[in-house]
Amino acid sequence: MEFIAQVFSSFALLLDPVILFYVVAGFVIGTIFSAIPGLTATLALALLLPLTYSLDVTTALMACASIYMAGMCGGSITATTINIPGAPSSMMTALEGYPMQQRGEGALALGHASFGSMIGGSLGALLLIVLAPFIAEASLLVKTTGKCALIAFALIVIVVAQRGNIRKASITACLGLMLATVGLDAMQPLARFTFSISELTAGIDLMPVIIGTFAISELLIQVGNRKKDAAIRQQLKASKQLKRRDFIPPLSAIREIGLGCYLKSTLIGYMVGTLPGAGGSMGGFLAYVETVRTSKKPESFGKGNPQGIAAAESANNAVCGGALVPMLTFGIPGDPVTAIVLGVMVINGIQPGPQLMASQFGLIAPMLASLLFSALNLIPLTLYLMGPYFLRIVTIRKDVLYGAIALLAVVGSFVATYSVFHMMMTLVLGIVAYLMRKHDYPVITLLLGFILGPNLEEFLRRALTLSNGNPMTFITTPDSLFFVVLTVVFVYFLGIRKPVQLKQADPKTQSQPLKGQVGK
Amino acid sequence: MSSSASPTRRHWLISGATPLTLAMTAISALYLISAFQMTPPLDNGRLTASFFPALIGIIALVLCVAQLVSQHRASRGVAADDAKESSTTDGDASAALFSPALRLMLVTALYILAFSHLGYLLSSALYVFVVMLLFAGRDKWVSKAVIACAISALGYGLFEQLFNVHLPALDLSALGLGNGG
Repeated sequence: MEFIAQVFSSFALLLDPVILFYVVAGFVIGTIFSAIPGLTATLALALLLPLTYSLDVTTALMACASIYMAGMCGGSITATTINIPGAPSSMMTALEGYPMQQRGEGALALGHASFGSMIGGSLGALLLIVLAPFIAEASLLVKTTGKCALIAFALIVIVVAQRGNIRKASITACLGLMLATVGLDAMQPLARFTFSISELTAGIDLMPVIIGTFAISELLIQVGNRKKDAAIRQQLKASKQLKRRDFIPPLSAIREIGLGCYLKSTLIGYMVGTLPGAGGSMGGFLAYVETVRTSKKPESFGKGNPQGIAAAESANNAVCGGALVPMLTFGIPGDPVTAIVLGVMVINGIQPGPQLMASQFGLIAPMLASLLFSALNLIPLTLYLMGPYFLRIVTIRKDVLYGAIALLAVVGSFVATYSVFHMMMTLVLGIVAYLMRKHDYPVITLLLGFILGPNLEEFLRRALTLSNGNPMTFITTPDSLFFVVLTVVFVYFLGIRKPVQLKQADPKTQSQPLKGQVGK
Repeated sequence: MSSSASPTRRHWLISGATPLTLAMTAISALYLISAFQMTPPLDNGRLTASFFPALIGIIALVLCVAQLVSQHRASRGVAADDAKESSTTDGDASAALFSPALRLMLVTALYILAFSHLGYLLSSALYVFVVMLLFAGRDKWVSKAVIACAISALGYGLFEQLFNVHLPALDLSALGLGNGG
């Protein structure tokens, strides 16, 4: 109860104009970045990361929360208007939103998307606020061996979630773990893999890894997509203008969708969010499939049914609340955005985990208040105030945009250490990530391997030391056994069992948004 | 026999993801060797600083080799189109040498090297200008130059003024214009 009261009292912080400015600016930047195909909220957060050195930690975390929420709903703008989801989480929205746009109801489709996002995002944030303290308390029961099994579980699940690319994902996860071992050993005074380079003695900083992996590699990919950009600009310019009065969905339409659809989709999204590696696209997909399955008119889906939009958008925004659960309670990020939020915390000397929720919840509460505020107020307000200008905003000149991004990324990597060495390392890691992405090696597993590596090593060594080197300790310790069994279950369902297939009446509308994934 | 086998091997080794997988195999092998050279993974039954790296190195090496074998097998499946694809690959490889991505890599590397000597403002304005040219071609270059200067100035305001980050200034001595002292 104390934590819930703290979250609600944190709303008072939003009365501070500086904090409110960063939260609103974060939301607007997140919406724009997720609306433009090729840019993501992850990239927006990666670029913001260097600035958090100068910002107060509370303000930085509140801005991160609003960017995260915006990133989940902003993708619906181009998904609806030109059938190219700005973010992967809006893939299912395109299936219903674009047919609505074709029959002149694009603004209404965006209204439904925004309303669904508001419901899902708010309920997801509330679930997080209510449940996180209990999960944190339960997480205190997990001891050294269990912690090792838990981190291994998270890493393995993220790898097997990259279905079709599991071996490549494993290789990049190993590369991330290798990078994490560079520098002084945490348990013995020994420098590892520094090759006599003094700058490497303290290890590789998180900043070059995040900026290199998400910003530099994105620039390198986008510089080769000039023709695609021109085509998207043409499509956007040809789109019908959106009118403010058309954004508000009629009450009858909301009643027709049904409260049950919103609630069920929110719950699906939240549960999916708690799983490592699943993310908004998986949440939206599963909620959409469930809505089609239980609908009385399944044949109406794929032709502009607002229920599909409501289901997908409620679920993908509810993912935000769910994804923060493992990050805050165990220190395990499940996707790139939560990994960067974790980075912001670590940079500011905060170590997520059960102790954080127990002793430092005053630092976390404002972030959760910002998440709820963004979902409840900023999603509908942004659509209503900025909606008519969305199409103009996303047709912003790419050379100007990428010129600014390149500058922010490279100079941003200088900010952490004032070191040209770190700038060069950012570039090298960016080139490596670019080559990996070009050849379908997932980079998310590299980042999570790098982030989880130090704890995995520490708990593995401690667990084996405590058991005199007996690896059977992972089976004989109850908390560890629980996570080992959970790992086996997830590997079966995500890696071995046949995936859920979406049956669609119109294959054209199904394939187009998938083709539109530019550099995500 | 040999003449038909040769292009298949060449295709497999130089095209697609193979060079990257080969590089990662080499990195894994070097990492593993370095881990073993550091200290033995077990010392009197105690785990040492090289235990975890050795474990990861072995797993990475096995995975990379498995990936190489898988790519080799996949390349056999397209052996029939080999000669045609080989020539296309050659074309792609030479085109890739001058690809926009490679140019952006080089420009960024040059920017980083010039950053502390030319100072933030000058090097950044030049860098943003070249990045804009890479993204949108050379037309309207004057307006691009003006925008590049404006972006650099905005960046200066953001970092130096708003976030109190000390950015390097122009080093005249590095250009041979100062007193050199």
